[in-house]
Amino acid sequence: MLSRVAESLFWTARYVERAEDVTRLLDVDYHALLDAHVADHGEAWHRLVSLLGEDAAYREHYDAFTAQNVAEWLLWHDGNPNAVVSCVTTARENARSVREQISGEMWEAINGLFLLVGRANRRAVTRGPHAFFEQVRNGAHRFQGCADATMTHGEPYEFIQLGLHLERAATTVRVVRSRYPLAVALADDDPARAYELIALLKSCSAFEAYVKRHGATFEPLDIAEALVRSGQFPRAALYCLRTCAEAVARIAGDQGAPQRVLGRLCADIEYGETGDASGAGVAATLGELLAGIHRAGDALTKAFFSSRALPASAVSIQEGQQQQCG
Amino acid sequence: MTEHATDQGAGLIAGYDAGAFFDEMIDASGAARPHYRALYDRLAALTDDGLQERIRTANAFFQTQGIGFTVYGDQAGTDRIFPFDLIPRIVPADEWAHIEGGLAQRIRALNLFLGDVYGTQRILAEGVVPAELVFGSRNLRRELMGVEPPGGVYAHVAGIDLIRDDEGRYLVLEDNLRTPSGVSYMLESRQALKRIFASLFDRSGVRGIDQYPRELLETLRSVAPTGAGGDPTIVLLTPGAHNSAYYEHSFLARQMGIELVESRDLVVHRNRVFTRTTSGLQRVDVVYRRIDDDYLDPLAFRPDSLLGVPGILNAYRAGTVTLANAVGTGVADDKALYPYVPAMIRFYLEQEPILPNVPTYVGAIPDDLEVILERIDELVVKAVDQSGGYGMLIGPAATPEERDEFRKRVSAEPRNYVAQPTIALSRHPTFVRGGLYGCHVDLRPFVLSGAEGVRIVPGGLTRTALREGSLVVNSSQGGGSKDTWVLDA
Repeated sequence: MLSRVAESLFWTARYVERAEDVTRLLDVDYHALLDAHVADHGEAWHRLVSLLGEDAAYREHYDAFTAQNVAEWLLWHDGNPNAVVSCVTTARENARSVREQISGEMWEAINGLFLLVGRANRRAVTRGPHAFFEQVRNGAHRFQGCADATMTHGEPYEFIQLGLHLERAATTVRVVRSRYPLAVALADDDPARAYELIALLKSCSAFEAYVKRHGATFEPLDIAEALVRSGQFPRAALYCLRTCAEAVARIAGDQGAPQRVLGRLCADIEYGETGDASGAGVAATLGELLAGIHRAGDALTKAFFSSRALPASAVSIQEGQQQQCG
Repeated sequence: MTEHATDQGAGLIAGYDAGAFFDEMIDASGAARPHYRALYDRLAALTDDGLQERIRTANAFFQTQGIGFTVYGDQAGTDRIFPFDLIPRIVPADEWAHIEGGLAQRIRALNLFLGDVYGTQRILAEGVVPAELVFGSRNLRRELMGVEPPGGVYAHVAGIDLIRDDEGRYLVLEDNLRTPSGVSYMLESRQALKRIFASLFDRSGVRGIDQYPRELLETLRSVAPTGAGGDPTIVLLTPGAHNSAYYEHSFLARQMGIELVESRDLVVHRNRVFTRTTSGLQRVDVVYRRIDDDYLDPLAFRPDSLLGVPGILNAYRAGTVTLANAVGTGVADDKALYPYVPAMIRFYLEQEPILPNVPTYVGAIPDDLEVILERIDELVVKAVDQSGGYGMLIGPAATPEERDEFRKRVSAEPRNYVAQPTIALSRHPTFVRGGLYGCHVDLRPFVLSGAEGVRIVPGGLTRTALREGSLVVNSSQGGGSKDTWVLDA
């Protein structure tokens, strides 16, 4: 299939997943901060922004980390390329350019999500965000479900799976890396510790799955293991990266750089020693894992997309020429 | 008066005023023409509610299909739904046979003319077509002299615009031989009409048009380079998602089952064209390109083009890839050469033209120029290298200032302009502003030319001028479309 089409499908899925992830993380903190006795809300909001890697950009636009500022930043702000509205817009633009490749149901799902986010009453959302968050997540799930149920599971579908699972793996690793050290730093009997661990699980939609397996006892290391090393929980890093490796094998067989990078990552997670379980130790291990996920993304780009993206300054010139033609 | 109309049980159609024009449905005595009888009766029986429901069905169809086109100058390239009229235009079998014969004859002559211009130039040597008009054409591509495309076909896909005058005669208004669009509207309008007037289809004997994508694919296959083998790879090259006809490009690619590619998907290596795919480079044999010559190859034409494929022209000259339409077809649909098409038909085919031209004054000819400048208030003046209703003046409807402005433009660059008498285009009942009004129409059939001959799908795009009194039917100028029924008997 065409490299450009593969790349657009990959990024459509990636951005839909990112929109869902950002929304979920925001939702969890909104609610965690309502009932937990967190001394410094500002610090908690700060952590969410830097978890998504946008600390410096945020500071260019805001002085303080407040619920309202952070929600505005993560949902709508023009300066934030990972704001939910820009994720959804980028996903839809990518989907639009490959509309003949995806099913009508998928197009309707992504278009519906775009309309939902675009038409939202922003002030009302800031006052009572929960219903909106739920709608965004439902919209993303609808797209992913439609991909599974209405699109032929051929090569184009595999690129959607790749984008979705690579993004999901990266988000889970980021969340654990950010929240785990905080939880282990609190004393065993500090009630805040349980709140923090529950928030960590909910940030990965993993609360119910974890409780079923371990009961309602929240051990930091058990939680980290479940979120990273599970081969069954769909947001665990290992599960997601294995899914990526399988998709790549179906696309291109078992030879090639992406296969090697993904295979090694999976093996490292599965067979690596737990080692240093301190906050700093786990954060360092997960930092390496995140770098590995980035390498996998680069390998995919090089092997399948070899994109020749235009520089930003040329994009509007190209659009003008497209209009003059024909 | 109103009561009389109600007595006939036909609120809509009975109130219809055919006016002083040639009306497609109603004859001079006020009766429906025989081939419109069934539709007329149906309209007479239609209640207002029934009509409204059908309009809703049609709108819902176009909305869910996402059929729109982009109008330049509108805010942010907004997609508008193509304005569609649910009352079909009907062409009886004998009229269609006449049209079909005329189109096939015309496109054969035009393809021979292109082969001649880029070959031995016999027609210029014999003085049938003035050489200065050909060499003065902005769309002549000197780079292609001596390059003969497979099968000698240049204009694989042509849209020939026909109009009818006040006596109902079909005339050719213009030839579109570069990248004519609109065929997707023809096909989708039919889908919509089948939902709206299903039972009428059963009884009327309407000829099908759904074979168009298959026939286009067969046409493209027939002109693959000789080295391509039995199963050539064909792609559709689009300028991109911001182009006004992008919907059509995507639609046709889907219907033909071929890849829709943008310039960045193609790469030329050692004079061969390839697509970049997830499993490496794949050879391409035929490119159905919907990109203008100017933008096609930055190494050969506009160097600033970001839509083109560097090196594709050399690959074409080397004969490893077929471009459809061929490069340089614009010289044959130059409006200054249009008046010579009947002469081309006589010269190459030794036949009399079946479909006449509209009388045309050519700015480049001194006597004609004088007429244009003197009678600009009666004429339609057109720039020779523009299409889509851009760059034209309708003399009788223009203000004195606009006429003066055009007089200046024509005097400054006479080669760039032609003029035609204002034709009283035929009208067709059309549903606008809550009632039936006569709107001016034209007809664009699509003519396919392959190595094995000419194919014409029985139908075309009927465009209507929806603004009251307007004579401009282009979709970019606020025109609408009708389904066009060609009857089998």
